[in-house]
Amino acid sequence: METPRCRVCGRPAVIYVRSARSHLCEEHFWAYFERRVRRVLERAGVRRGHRILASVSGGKDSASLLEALHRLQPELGFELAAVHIDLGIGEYSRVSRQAAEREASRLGVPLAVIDLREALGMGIPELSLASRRPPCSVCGLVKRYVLNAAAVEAGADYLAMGHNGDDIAAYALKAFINQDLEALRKLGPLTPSIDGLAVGRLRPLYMISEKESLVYALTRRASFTMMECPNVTRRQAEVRLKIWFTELERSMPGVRDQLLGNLARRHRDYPEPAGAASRCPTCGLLSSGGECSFCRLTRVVTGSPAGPAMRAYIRERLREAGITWTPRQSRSASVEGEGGQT
Amino acid sequence: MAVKAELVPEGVTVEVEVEARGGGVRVRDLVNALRRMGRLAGDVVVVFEGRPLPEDAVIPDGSTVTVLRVLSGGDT
Repeated sequence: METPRCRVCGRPAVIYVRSARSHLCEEHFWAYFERRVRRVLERAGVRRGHRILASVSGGKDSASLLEALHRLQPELGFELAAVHIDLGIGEYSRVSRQAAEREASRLGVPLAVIDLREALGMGIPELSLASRRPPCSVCGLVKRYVLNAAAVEAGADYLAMGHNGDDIAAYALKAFINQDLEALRKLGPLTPSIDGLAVGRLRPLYMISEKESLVYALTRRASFTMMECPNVTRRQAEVRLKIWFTELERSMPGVRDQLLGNLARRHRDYPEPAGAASRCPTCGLLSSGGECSFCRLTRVVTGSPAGPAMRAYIRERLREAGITWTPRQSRSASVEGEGGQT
Repeated sequence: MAVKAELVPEGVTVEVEVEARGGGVRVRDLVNALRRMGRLAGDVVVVFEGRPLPEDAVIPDGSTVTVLRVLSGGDT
């Protein structure tokens, strides 16, 4: 077999990094990948003693996320734990949960599993049917709520998400096409915390392509599943935009980095959402006015809002997982009035 | 020259005829052949004997490779 050689050391390469125009071996690819993740963490202000709760789905991106954070933890001195949501979507959820549990266990990172069927008596398919909303819409709403609630209850400083650079580029293009400029504002590497209501969302894989994320997970021998959610279709706008952007990157190497670099610098120039962030009178978490969308959804489906019960359930799962950080008294992170949960 | 490609996550194995280059099959040519067959969209990672390969790598005739689709769905 004939393999291109690493530009740094001359060993067999495992990837050609288009934005760097370089072939890299495993070791130098890991160094490149972790350097990019570290840069995002440092620019977001992650410091010694900060607490990061990583959202892990069981897929390649969250496996790469957890692996890279675990590797960077000794050097940067932050505390790390993970949360997984079992969405109750049949075999897909069973396989995803197993992968998340295996990966967290392999790395020795405490993991809390939030099981929707256990907490609510139903998973995403039933919630979708009962609310007459598309499954992806319900799933997004529930995940945003549960992940934020878990981060608040854990006393985390950051909720780390596995969104990669291609995800962000696709969201940004979709937002631009729709002229949803408020959505563009939320697409920086960090969406700041809102004191007591929402924990800042950190995107450590912001400058990592989806291909790099997969190669990192493979070469680090991470545990993940390639199984896809049965509700995702190739026709979805984000998926089509990603395919288009991959082709654009082939003919214009570095264009994704250019978009993301500019977005990271300029996202705060876009308008703030109308309406101030407020506290849900039922569950006490973030709302864009009145009762939050999770309490409203569960009120429609079950007859009573499930926010308070979900928070209590999450507290118990965190305690069982040994994620017992002392809640911060108050956070000083800037409030930019970003009412939505990105 | 022919290569067997196992497509993931589809779980399908296909045999692909690819023009010989440098005494074997260039990964890029294999990927392009799969695209022409309508089997792929977006980026992929080709794994041979447990190692990911760059697109300039050349694999021996008759090899079996795994072709992982990079693209996933997801939401904000």
